[in-house]
Formats: sequence, structure tokens, C-alpha cells
Amino acid sequence: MPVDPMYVDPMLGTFRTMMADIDQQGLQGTDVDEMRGILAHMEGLSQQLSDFVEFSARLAQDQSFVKFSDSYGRALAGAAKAASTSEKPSDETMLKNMLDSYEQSLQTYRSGQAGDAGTKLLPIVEKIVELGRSGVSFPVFLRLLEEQSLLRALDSGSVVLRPALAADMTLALTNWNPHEYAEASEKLAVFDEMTASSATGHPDSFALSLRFRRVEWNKAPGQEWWDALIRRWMYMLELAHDWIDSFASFAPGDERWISELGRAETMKNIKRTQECEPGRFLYRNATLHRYFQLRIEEIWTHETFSYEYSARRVIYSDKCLTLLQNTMALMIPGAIPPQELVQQAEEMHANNSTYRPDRMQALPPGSPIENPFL
Amino acid sequence: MSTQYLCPQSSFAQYHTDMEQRHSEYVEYYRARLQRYEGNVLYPHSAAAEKAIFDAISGCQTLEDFEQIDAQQQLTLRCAIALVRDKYTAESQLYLELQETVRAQPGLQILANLDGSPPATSAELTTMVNDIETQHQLKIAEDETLISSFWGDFKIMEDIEEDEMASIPPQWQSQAQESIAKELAHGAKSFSEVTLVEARKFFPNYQPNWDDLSEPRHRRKVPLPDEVFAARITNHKKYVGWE
Repeated sequence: MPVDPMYVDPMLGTFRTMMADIDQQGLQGTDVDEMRGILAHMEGLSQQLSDFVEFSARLAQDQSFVKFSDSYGRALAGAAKAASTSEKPSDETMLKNMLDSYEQSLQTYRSGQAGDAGTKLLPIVEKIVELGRSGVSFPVFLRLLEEQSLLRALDSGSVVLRPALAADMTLALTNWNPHEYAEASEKLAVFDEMTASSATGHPDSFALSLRFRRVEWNKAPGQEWWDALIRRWMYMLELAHDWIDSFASFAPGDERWISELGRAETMKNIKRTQECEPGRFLYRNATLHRYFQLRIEEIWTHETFSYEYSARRVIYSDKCLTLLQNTMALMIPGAIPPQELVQQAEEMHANNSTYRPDRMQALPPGSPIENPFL
Repeated sequence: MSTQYLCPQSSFAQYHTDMEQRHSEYVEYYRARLQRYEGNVLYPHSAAAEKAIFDAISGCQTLEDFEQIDAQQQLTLRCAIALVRDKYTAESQLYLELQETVRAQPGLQILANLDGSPPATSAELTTMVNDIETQHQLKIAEDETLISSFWGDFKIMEDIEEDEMASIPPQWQSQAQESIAKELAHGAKSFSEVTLVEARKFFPNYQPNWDDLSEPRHRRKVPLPDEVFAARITNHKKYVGWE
């Protein structure tokens, strides 16, 4: 069965339109033949294969999109060359073509189709068009674009990029992610430094991209470490929570243990948690130390806990966290928690205070960091 | 002297004045372009190529002379090639410095092509760069397939290890063993029937090589101690049924 047209049509639609455009112009030649061959190959694959992923993979392997686009470009360039009376278009034609293209961008930006970025780039493109329409010759126009750094302003996208970097910082603050914040703020510092040292007032976009890649590369392991550590102590909170709750009177009615196979199986699930979780917890604590040279006892005051707490991604109430802290200290194989702790779990369950009401609602950006254990 | 007789001469003179004016405008344009690269350590080849084209146009008597020289010496194309050379030199140097040896490859190959058989037209240059970039995007994705699967499987490897090593009462041991067997069977099936099959759709000759994971570009993505990393490689091969 061929690949579903629902997937094929959006993928090949652009190329079909490009082919139709060439046919409409009546263009012929090697490049057009190549385009036709590549499109037929893509259409053929969509009929031969049934799996969309395999279809995409084959197009990628064959570089069909790149090859088609190259042939299309060459076909159009050839047609433009043939259409001109002389081999090289006149300065006036080149100026007109360039301005037409900028005016098209201008219309897109003005219509709002290019979003906020388009609105920010609008004054630069307006300035370019205004210069081009001012009656200057083509070389003067090109020189002014260089001297007034208008192309560099467009190329660097600095009017768009700086607010985007500042927004990344705000987002990182909102998410209480110090590594993302450090990356965004370092990129912003790089951007500002390169802008300040640029004679044109706009950083060189290629040089900037190299600096950004270095920042991202440097920051990546720290973020991985941070996320990996959090995932592991979060799981240990769950283990302790399950263990203490498994002794509570509400356990047989709790979805963590209820079995479709009946009450006996439910009670077996509860018993397994009661008997196995301490050993599993100790394994996890040893793993935490093996990975991060930290024990769970140190996590309560660790910065990962402070940040996750402030982000309200630690979903347990303060009272429950204290209960879990006390519970963890008792989790050794064969142990049974004291009734006093079980009772606390039952009370919290009864009055719905196990989880904090504002869970997943992070403190506002810029708030002082919170940690009840500090 | 009739006006009719004067007109052609006047137009001819005007034409020359216009062309001189246009020539000097182009000289100033190329001067502005040169200033963009001059003295910039990132663009030494571009600075040299722009200097060459500026010298050529400013040393010519007419624009027509310059066009001839440009066509003979391919000065415009050389500027385009120089810019590509500068960018890929800087990019590959960065990646080699960061020990990102696979990501450095497209740049290195483009530079080798420029040295070996330089493109004859700007269209050829664009095609060559695009082709190499596309080929290497696939190679980079292939190179990163195993590390992504390996790091992503840490949680399940810990779950298996927990069943193997945690202090669990004897009455629950058989259930733990069943769970291990089930996870290992699932891991092997998923790896052979999903991970490898999907990967080979994109990379037909894909063969996972766990030795590669110790390369700095991969190793740094798992910021845990060496002994953990080494042990997990053994665990992972077992989990996916490779050994």
C-alpha cells in the first residue's frame, strides 16, 4: 500500500508546484529533465513504499530535495540568462530585481505573516527599499548597503536575536532552570560584547554562531548532570512515599495497588511494596552515590532540590516532605515504619494535604529561592 | 553645424562620462566590500580575494576591461570560494578543538574539495557545499544514534540492576527474576525490531559500536564517573541482546 497521501502531499507539494512553474514557463533542457526525473523518483517511492519513515529516509539518503532544488535554481538561472538581451543583465535590471525581492519581503512583513520577527525587521527592509528607490545607481546602492550595514543588520538578525535571547533568559528563570539561564545569559553577553566591538553595531552572524556553538557545547554536560540527578532523587521520594502509604489504612483502595484481579492480588501488591521497597531504596541511594557522590540525606539541602522546590515540581507538601525525610531514615530491609508516621500519612491523605496545592505553579521569576530544609 | 549632427557626438561623450562615473561607483562599492573583511582574522582568504578584485577594478581604465579581467581570472568566483573557505576553516577548527570529530567532517571535506578540484562556477560551489552538508547531516545523525539510545536506556538498566542487586526478601525473588527476564527480552526485541530497523531506514549499513561511545564527543554527554560508564556499556549490550 502506498504511503498515505496525507503525508506525501505536504512533503512533495512544493516540488510539484516548482515543476509546474517550470512547465508553465515552457523551460526545457538538462536541468529541467533532472528535475522531472527526481520528482518522478520521489513520486515512485511514495507508491512503492508503505512506511512514511522509510519514505522520508530514502528521500534523505538520495538527497532528493537538495538535488531537485539545485536543478530548479540552475533551470531558472539559465532561463534568466537566455531571456536577457546581453549575457549580463544591466545594472538597472539587477537593481529592479533586487528591490522587487525586498518589496516582496516588505509586504510579507507588513501583513504580519512573518510574525514578530518580520515586524522587527520591517524598518531595515524599508530603509533598503527607500535607498534603492532614491534614484541612486546599482553600485551606489550596493555601496550604501555595505556602508550603512543594512545587509549585516538583516543577516545578523540582531533586532530579532537580542530580544529572543532575553526571552530565553526569562523563560529559564520562569522554569527555575539555572543551566538554561546560564546558557542564555552567556549567549546574551557574547552578543552584547560582539555588538559593542563591531564597527557596524551589528555582530557578524557567522562569528556569533561559532561563539554560540561553543557556549552550547560547554553547557550541555552540566544540564545533563542536573537533569539526571533530579530524576533520580525524585524517584526516591516516590519510593519512600509508596512505602509509608502502603502501611496506611487507605492503601487497599489506592490506585497504586488496586488489581483488576481482585482484593487478594491488591493485598499482594501492597505486601510487595512493604517488603521490597526498603531494599530497592537502598539500592537507589547507593546508585545516587555511585553516580553523583551524593546520598539522599544530602539532597534536601542540595541546590537541585532548592530549584525544583521553588519551581514547585516537588509536588509534596512541606509536611509530607518531612514525613518522607523521616521515613527514608527507617527504610532498611525488614523494617516496619512506626505507627506514628503511618498515622501522619493517613491524616494527610484524609485532609488532602499530601500534595502541595500550588504544585507545578512555579514561584515568579526573580523570587528568592525557597527550601524549607535550609 | 546642425543639431542633428551634434547629437550623436554629444551622446557618445555623455556615454563615456556615464561609464566613467559608473566605474568609479563600482570602485567605491568594492572598496566598501573590502573594508568588511580587511583585518578580520576570521576571513583571511576573503580579505585577500576582495583585495584582488578591488585592485583589479581600481587598476582598470574601464568597466569593460574589468569585466574581461574578472572573466579571465574568475575574481568574483574566487571571492565566493574564499568566503566558503574561511567559514569552513573556522567551523572545522572549532569542532576539532572541541573533539567533535564527526561534526568537523563536512567542513574538512569541503576544504579538501576546494583544494583538489575547485568549482568552476558559483552554482557548482553551492551544489558542492549543499551536497556535502546533506551527506554529513546523515552521518552525524548516524553517529549520535547509539549514544542517544544508550543514555536514554539508563533508567531501564537501573531498574534491571535494582531487581538483580537490591535486598529483596526471598519470597519476591522469583518475581524480580521474571521481571528481569521480561525486561531483557523486551530490550532485545525492541532493539532488533525497532531501533535497528528504524536506524537502517536512514543508514542502511548502520552497525552499533559501543567502543565509539568512549570517544570524547559521546562520553561528555553522560557526565557520570568512568566506572559507571564502563559498567553501563556492558549492561547495555546485554539489555539490547547484542552479547
